[in-house]
Amino acid sequence: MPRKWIFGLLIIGACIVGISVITMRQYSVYFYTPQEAKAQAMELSQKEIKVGGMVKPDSLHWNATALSLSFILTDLQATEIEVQYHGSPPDLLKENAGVVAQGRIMQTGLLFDAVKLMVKHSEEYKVPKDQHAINPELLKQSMFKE
Amino acid sequence: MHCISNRFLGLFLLSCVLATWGYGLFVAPSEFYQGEVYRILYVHVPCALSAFLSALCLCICSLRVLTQKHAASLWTARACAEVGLLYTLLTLITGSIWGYPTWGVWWTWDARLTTTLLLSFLYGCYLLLWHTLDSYSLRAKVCSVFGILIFIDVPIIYKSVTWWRTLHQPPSLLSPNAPMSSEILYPLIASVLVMLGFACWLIALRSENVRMQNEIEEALSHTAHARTPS
Repeated sequence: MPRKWIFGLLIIGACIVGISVITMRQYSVYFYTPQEAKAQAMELSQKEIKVGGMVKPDSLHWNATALSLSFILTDLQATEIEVQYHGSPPDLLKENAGVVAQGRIMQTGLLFDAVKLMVKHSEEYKVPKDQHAINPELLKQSMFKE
Repeated sequence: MHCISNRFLGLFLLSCVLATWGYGLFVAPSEFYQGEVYRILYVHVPCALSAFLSALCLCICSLRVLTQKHAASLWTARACAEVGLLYTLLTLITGSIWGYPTWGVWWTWDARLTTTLLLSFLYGCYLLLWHTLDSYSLRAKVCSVFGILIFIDVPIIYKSVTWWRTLHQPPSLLSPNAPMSSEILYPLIASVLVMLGFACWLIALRSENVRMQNEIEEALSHTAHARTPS
């Protein structure tokens, strides 16, 4: 009897998990790539979406007095979308950073009006070179002329 | 004597855990991209893996209850769920604290975060079931089956970052790309190992407590039974 229970419930559980994995793969996308967003800009412009890509080098413009930020979001291939944002951006938002922008895409697919910016980083954790080579004594000497 | 040695083991493991945290906070080098804020890694990753280990222990205990009729495993199973809930909550809290300075948000509904939140709910449901079902046989059946099913969430959490697009980064440990400098990797492995040891000790201590609590309750109900006829 207990063995039947286990097998039955394991099968049910596996089915639930399998079905949810398959449906989540098909329908639930955490963010669109710039290419997908641009291609479906007509329908997607009706609702708030997330688009994920890279900040194109030399495209980041930050106006500190107006708190407005704009940059070009790219998939590093051919697709580029200009993102506009108002507010203070996350600390780690830099050129070449991965970013997930939440907001609305214009129907043309050229402009994205972001209400929230999130920075995605990779699984890499590297130590900067010569980190321990800085000699604090030198600053102390020049400060106090000991 | 058994109790004292156990206590010393616990103190030893706890001091090891604190030592790895101290190492991570003050001795380990800062990181190239994230700077100092990455140091919470030495708490977050051990907590997450301890939550996974608790789910594995819960699964094994539940299997023993069902297949071998091993009654004492039901106490250990409850202890696993309690410790697992604690570690899952710690994972969510430390992850949130890490998320704000790096991602820019405290929380987002991506697959990794959502499935981890689900794990905390599953642990909570298990404990709710455990306390609601009074009769031993019913509790043994229902809780144990549920306890086995909880474990299914663990590989889903682990693989979520490779299966779906997420904000959370893929795993660094066990990655073939060697994404970590050895000065960061080795202390992390050490902090994970001592935390897993401490989690095992917590589970052992708690299941002993639950067993004793149950013995006392049974003894009390026996004396109450003995008194009522007279």
